Amino acid sequence: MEQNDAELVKQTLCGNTAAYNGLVLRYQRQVYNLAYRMLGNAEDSGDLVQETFIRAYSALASFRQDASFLTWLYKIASNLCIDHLRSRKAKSALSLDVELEEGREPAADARTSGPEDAAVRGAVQEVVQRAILNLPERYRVVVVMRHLQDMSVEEIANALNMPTGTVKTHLFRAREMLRERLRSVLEVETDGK
Amino acid sequence: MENRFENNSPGENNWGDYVSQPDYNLQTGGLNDGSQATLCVRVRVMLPPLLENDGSVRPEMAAAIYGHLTICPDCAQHFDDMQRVVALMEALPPADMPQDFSALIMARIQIQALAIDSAVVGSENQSIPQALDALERASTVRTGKSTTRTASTVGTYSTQENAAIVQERTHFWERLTAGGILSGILAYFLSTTWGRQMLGANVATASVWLEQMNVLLQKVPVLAWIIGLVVSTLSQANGMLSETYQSLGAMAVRGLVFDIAICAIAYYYMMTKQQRERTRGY
Repeated sequence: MEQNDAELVKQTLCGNTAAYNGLVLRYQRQVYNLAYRMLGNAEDSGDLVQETFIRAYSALASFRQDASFLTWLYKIASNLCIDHLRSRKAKSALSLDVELEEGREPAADARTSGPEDAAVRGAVQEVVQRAILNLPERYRVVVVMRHLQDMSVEEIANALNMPTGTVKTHLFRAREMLRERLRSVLEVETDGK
Repeated sequence: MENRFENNSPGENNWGDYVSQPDYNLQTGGLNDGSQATLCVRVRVMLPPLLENDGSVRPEMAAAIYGHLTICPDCAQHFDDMQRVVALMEALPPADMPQDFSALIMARIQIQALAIDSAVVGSENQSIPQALDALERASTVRTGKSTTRTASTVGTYSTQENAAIVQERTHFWERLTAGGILSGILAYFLSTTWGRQMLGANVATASVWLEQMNVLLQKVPVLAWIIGLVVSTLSQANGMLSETYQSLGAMAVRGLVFDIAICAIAYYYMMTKQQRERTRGY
């Protein structure tokens, strides 16, 4: 698999664009998933996937084989996600996402109105996704990479240019926040048992 | 699996202060020096690395913590919640990708490559209209509302990007040419005797003029003193400069020109590097 990536990268650098298409086909889903969990909306995520692969293509010569191609893509994608969230925050002070960004409790919080009903309706996943989107971006990115993209702490540290200690601290805080915010879901589950 | 525990270098992990300390008195809830509450606090610190299961908790320590969990319902509940939060996240299915983006991506790459540098595309000798056709085809994969959005987004994206890159390049060459011409003129003046004499004379004239300004300004109260001081300093510096120019020998002048050239090259190198990084977005 890894060998294959390296081969495709080499071919792309030699001018074979079809080889790059192979890399896009192989990894677009993972990149889309990261974007979707970070941004929470399909249209922005689609744009982000395109942007990631286009940037990766123009910077392909600078890709060193010491990390996997996917980790490198995640690095580009997570930077773009964070840029996107920041510009979104700057653009509209009225959007719900902005409140979520700040880590404040949004007006219609998952805890007050939505979650019990949602959980009862079987939309637990929806609640979890919203709770993740509620996290401040620096915590969100590590938790998404660790538990949704199944990356190791070292890979995350590499992708985010962070010391592993910082990644661990962020992971810990993110999970604590989620535990608080998903309390209702956890209680419902416990009662159900 | 086994040497995972042996690779445990203290200071590498940041999970908690107790991770690398061999204190196994937590066994079966054994209370040693502190109260139950202190013990629980110490156990809670250890729970994240235990959950991570990356080998940073030694097996004896892990056994001690599990021992505590069997007798302390609060800690057990806490650990259970932590595990379930992770399980909830991991149960999220991969997001449904609305379409295959590869055709769009490849079309945009081709347009970009053609617009910036026609040599990059490689063997297929496609022209921009053909690439645009491909983009059109790729974007109509989507249906209804999304189609128009994608097409328009892609259009503006690539046009904006390319325009920005082309504009940056133009600016760069403009600056390079202007810088080159100015450096050339300066070098020419400095390398000829009459040029140096002329520069010196000009600077001397400026210095005389500054001196006159100074005399004039002395007549205005309050501000006069400060401005006068500045002007006279400038004029003195000018005087020195003009003398230097007129008396410089040929070798010293060549040295000076050489220094200027080195500085200019270093500056342009830095600028090109910055430019390329910005174009790539890193």
